[in-house]
Amino acid sequence: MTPAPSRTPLLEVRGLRKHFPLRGGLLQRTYAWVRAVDDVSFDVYPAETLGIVGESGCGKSTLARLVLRLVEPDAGTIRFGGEDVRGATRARMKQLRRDMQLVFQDPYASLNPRLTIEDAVAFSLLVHGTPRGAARQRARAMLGRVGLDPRLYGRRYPHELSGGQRQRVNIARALVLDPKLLVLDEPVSALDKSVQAQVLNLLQELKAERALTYVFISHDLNVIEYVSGRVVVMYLGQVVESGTADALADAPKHPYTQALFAAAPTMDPDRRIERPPLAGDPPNAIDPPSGCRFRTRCAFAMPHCAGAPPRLSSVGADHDVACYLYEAHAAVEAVTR
Amino acid sequence: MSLLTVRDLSVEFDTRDGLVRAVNGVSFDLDAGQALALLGESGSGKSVTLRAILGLHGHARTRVAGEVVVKGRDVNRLDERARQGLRGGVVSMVFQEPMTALDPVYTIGAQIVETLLQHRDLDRDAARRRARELLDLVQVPSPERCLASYPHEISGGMRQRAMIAIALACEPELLLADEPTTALDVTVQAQILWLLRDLQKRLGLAVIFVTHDLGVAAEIADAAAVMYAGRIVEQAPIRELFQRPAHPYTEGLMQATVRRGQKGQALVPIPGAPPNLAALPPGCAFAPRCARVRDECVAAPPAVHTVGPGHLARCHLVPERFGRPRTEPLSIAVNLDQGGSA
Repeated sequence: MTPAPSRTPLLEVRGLRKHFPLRGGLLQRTYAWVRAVDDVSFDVYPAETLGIVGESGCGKSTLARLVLRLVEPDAGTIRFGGEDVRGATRARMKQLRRDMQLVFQDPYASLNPRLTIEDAVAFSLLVHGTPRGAARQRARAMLGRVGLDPRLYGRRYPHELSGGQRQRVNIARALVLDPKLLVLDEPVSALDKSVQAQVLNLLQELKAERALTYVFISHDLNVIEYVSGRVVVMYLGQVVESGTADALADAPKHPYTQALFAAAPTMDPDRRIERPPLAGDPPNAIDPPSGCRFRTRCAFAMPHCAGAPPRLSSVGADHDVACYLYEAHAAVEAVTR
Repeated sequence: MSLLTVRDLSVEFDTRDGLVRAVNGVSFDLDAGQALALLGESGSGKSVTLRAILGLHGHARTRVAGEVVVKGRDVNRLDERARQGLRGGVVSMVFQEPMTALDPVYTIGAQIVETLLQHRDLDRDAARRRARELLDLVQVPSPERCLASYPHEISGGMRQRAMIAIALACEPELLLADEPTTALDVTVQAQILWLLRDLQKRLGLAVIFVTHDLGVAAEIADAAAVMYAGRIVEQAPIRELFQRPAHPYTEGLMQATVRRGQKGQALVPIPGAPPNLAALPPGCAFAPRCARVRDECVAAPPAVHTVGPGHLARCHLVPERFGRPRTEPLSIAVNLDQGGSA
């Protein structure tokens, strides 16, 4: 179903880093750093859906904002269609953002309560210089495409719509600019299950219709597995595993990925979770554990996991994992190749 | 005698938009030691039902009708003092968001001790010892440190354990849990679900678990009641519900939920959105979204029909789809009152 990715990435992210300072006291001195995103690299190929999954505090939402430069990265490179995004001027950045759009989790908070939904969708076109009449016409057509009849809904305000309808407005607003890449940050997490399915189906249709590329961020492993061709698993600001959705579902390698799958309810009363797969909560990104950040919750932790952090290494075709359990395997692979 | 009997419970809110019928003739029984999941989406009335069991709805602009009988006493006929006794001793509640349910200016220890002093005849030292025991019971790894911590100093999972400890302080027989794992990460959710299941077995607790998540219900419940637009539309033992959903809404919910291994298949969503509770349709409230809708569904609300032992559904199509209703007495712990149909 997923087209074989062509080997020229649309989006290339290398060594991306963002640490937020925590300030306090009389002089507002920095006393600690939140290491939200730490040395993250990945590629997104045209027409694929890359899923990014992880728990709260893993840095997935910061990552979305870094890619669009809504938050300025501390280090690393972002290339979009081969162009260096971090080197772009203000004017060029505005152009680039037409091609890279973001849809947020909370469909209500991300809409202006004083704009009718027609105006909300037309607004981004006006910002990019489309004449008023044409902008309105395109906004109405786009609303129709996402399933909101503009004659019925166009003049309504966000508070008059349901959660699912609001998320459709946000999708229309992002797509009206004809972007190439859509970054979706938990787009269905705030919606009821029956409505989630409507929005997921709509996103799949639109992607096929418009040859879109998605970066789909979610904490819900079932949703990620369903929508994604390839998946990146994050833990405390770092990538711990990446691979095709099938490879991850069939044979997850990293103990954290294994735990995520084991913790997801099965929807089968005869196959209940026997034992919680992990103890404790994810630690704080302010002062993450040394070495492998997962080692404090890992059942397989060894003494040297506290030393140098494990690097992502290949464990199969397009399947990488950052864990010392597999470093020996990777070394053997390298020799036999 | 069942621990809890709810008969024809209705809760209406008088709002600017008119009279909102949040709960509309809900009836069910719960035996000691049983776990019931109240399943439904936002606005289905599941949390309002739960609050009505504790008598938490104020009188201003709210009308509560029907019976909620806990151990032979009707909550709606008790005075506030007697209700408080009930809340302390027999029934207690765990909320969705432990950060808002806990008081930010008191330590966890102080909040457990206060609960004990309020409801139990204990001196302060005994209450402190009991607080420590309670944290052991909910498997807090370093209980002394947790007792001395303020809510913002501990993790979300730990806060929810502390909430459960407070709820268990007075040894209730019935625990009401309102989406207790919804705000938690999936690996922490697994821990809390497992803990609640373990406590329920060990302490012989009855639990009503409000959730929007079919997966959570499958993990914890003995039986489930599915709510839609203020009514219980289907009720069944949990395996039966998953194997043979009888109400089109339950079926729809199961088809719409993304499961593992569904890749490449289009999801089957339920079209439309739930009805406005201030203007409910005269017939079945699900009819406008139902794939199996017929004229009779729009004309009159359906009665409750028996699908199988302990399995009931409020749908006109049950007799035709699942055979004639059987008449044998229902032996299952949780059942829907047939007389209470609309």
